[in-house]
Amino acid sequence: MSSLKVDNITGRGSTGFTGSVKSEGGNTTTDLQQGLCKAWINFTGLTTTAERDSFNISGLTDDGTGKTDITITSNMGNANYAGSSYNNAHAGAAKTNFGNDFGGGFGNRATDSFGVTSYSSAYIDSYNNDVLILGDLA
Amino acid sequence: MSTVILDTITGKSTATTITIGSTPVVSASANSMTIRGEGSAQTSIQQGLAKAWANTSGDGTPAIDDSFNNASVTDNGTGNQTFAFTNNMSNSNYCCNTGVLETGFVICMQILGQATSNTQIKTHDVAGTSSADSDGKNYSNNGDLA
Repeated sequence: MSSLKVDNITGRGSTGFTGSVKSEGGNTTTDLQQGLCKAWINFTGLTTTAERDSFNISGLTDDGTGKTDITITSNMGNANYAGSSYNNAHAGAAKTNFGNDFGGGFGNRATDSFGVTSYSSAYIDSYNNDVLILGDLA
Repeated sequence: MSTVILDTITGKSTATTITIGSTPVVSASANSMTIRGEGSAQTSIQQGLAKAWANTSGDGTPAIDDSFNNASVTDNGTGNQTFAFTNNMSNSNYCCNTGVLETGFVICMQILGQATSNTQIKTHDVAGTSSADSDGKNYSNNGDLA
């Protein structure tokens, strides 16, 4: 067995360290950076619109009933990122509080922010909102 | 291009810490691994990783087709299933996203509950506004592991 003891490894190129890892099947490699979620948030859209927990999110702004603007701490490289969102389309926290005709999703997307909506027959502030972003960091 | 072939790289000053540039990328400390993103910004590896996911099939009796950190799925009744984790989350405020597979009718998903040890998901028939089994369910959780 060989061992190397170092404190610092410096990349030779201008892009620094870039990572890829071998796939589960062992037949290919996958890009580590591209596979990472770049931002996520769990928040309530009720009157005090507030996050419960998040990553790479700097703030929330109530943009009206059922509409929330979310700002990103470390910006994305472009506005073409992918996102996934869930909301319960209901103001209640109980298991039975669910808008069965729920809808909504993403509004405008920018490198430093994005909007999400919650809808059930009309825009509605939802108790449960979960959003994640995948794409290129700036 | 230079290549070093070896079995183990160990931090010289601290055995469990190695820095690339000025950024610690290997560390025994919690939530301490970062990687440069597509541009120049650094991003957390731990926070970017999905901590659990599963893909299930089975209209009435669910079966796990593939998963990560998902120990089991329990059928609680029509459309209602609990996905238990192998390694628990540290709190219930994680970000859960879902997807549904159903070819027969329009269906939507409800997250019934988020606990540190499991996520409970239910499917509904939109037209009938009632609980309904789906052909399959998907979920993924991002958040903090215990």
